[in-house]
Amino acid sequence: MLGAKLVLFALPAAVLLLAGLLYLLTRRPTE
Amino acid sequence: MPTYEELSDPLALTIFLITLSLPVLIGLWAMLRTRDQSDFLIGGRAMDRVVVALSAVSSGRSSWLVLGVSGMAYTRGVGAVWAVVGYILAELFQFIYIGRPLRQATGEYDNLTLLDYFEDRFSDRRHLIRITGVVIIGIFLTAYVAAQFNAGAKALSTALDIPLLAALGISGLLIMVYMVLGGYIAVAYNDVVRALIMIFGLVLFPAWGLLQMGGVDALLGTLSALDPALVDPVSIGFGVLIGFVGIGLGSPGQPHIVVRYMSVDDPERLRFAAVLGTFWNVVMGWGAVFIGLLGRALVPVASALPEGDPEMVFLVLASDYFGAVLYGLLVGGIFAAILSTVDSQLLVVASTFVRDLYEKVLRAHVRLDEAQKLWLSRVVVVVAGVAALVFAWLAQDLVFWLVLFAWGGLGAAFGPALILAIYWKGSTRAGIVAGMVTGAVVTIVWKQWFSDPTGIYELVVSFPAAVLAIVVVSLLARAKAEGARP
Repeated sequence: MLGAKLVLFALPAAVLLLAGLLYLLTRRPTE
Repeated sequence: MPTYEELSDPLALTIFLITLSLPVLIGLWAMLRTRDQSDFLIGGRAMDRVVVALSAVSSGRSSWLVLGVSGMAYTRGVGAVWAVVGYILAELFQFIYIGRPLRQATGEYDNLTLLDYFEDRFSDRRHLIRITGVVIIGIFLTAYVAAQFNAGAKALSTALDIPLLAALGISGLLIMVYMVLGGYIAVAYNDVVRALIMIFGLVLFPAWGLLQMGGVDALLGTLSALDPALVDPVSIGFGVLIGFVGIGLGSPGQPHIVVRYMSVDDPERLRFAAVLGTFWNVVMGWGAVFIGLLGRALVPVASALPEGDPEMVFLVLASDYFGAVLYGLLVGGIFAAILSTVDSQLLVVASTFVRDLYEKVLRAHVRLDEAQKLWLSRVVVVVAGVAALVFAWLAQDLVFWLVLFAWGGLGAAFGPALILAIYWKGSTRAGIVAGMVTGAVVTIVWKQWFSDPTGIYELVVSFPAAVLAIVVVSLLARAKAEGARP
């Protein structure tokens, strides 16, 4: 049950967190 | 026995018909913004980041998400999440790490198609890459369009209780009308509307279902009582898990998805598009998984579904548990999901024939003006659309056989080639051609003869095989060129 809850709720949250992190980390410095 | 209804209720039918007629209105509006071939094929490289994000995720997701993933979750339980994780992560990375450099380069080269980019990137004056690409897109993507036309027509034929041929004609006519009017802009804005309809269905539906079941614990408890493997995320086995995640390997090589990145107004805006697109993908993907799980809990035996098909679970639940309005919208949503893939793919097929083959190879010596190019693009959309419809109707067996290889074939042919063209300066024209052919051929051979006995998904093999072919042939070509130098 815990495994099911993790993949149903924590996994999508982790994917969204990764998207947010990539957004911040890939900013190119303005010249 | 649960069934799914025809749309006999006048209100449901009206809602459904509105979802059908809206695209033509969008096409009329988009026509005002379509002044040349660049507008018609890539929205004049001036598309808004929100439109690009939603169009990319909507075109990438076909009926496979709504019907296929919910069916997978019905059969395999929570392990079905791995099927959505692979492509969502792949798309997140490709928005930024493929889309951004590709948009930068195609803007500088003034490219309208993916094959334009390859030709300029490798200074391929003999058009070898372009011709190889035209053949691969011509075979796989045309079959893909034909198969999706069939799927859309089946949904429409069931919903309206009309013959399949009539449904095929209506679907084809609908798509071609707004595509001829507004080209890429019409397609992209229609994708946005469809993304909204799809997310509405895929959020509302499971939320309502969970409420009815009494929460997540009750749902998982019911599933566990049916079969403990349904609530075990790794019960599907390592091989299936790798195969599910491997679906994502096909994503960077789909020309109809990649062209979305080329259309954005500013490459930097693809970072925001990545976040929005991922949010949409996550909600739609997990929504489809929840629908499958709820379906299994409510209708535990697959034989109780129409034709015993787990992919019918979405329609059965929508029909049995929703009112007419929502049912009309949800059936419209499935049709929308199918159409949003078909029109995007059909535009790539048309651009491949009109731009890549006719203008750049067959009539390369003739200078056409912008009005002629635009007119020609519109004609080719109709010709390609009619050809795909005839193909869909007359060669159904061939279409279903070919489409088995389409996702993997396109993914392995173009994905490694595109990634290495962007990131490896050592890649050569010969290497790219070798990689494209290897990717397509290994996908077909593996799927046909080795996939079942080994249990290994074709892209897991054909993608690295194409990478290897590009690297080896590029190194050999460079060594030969250096050896030939005096």
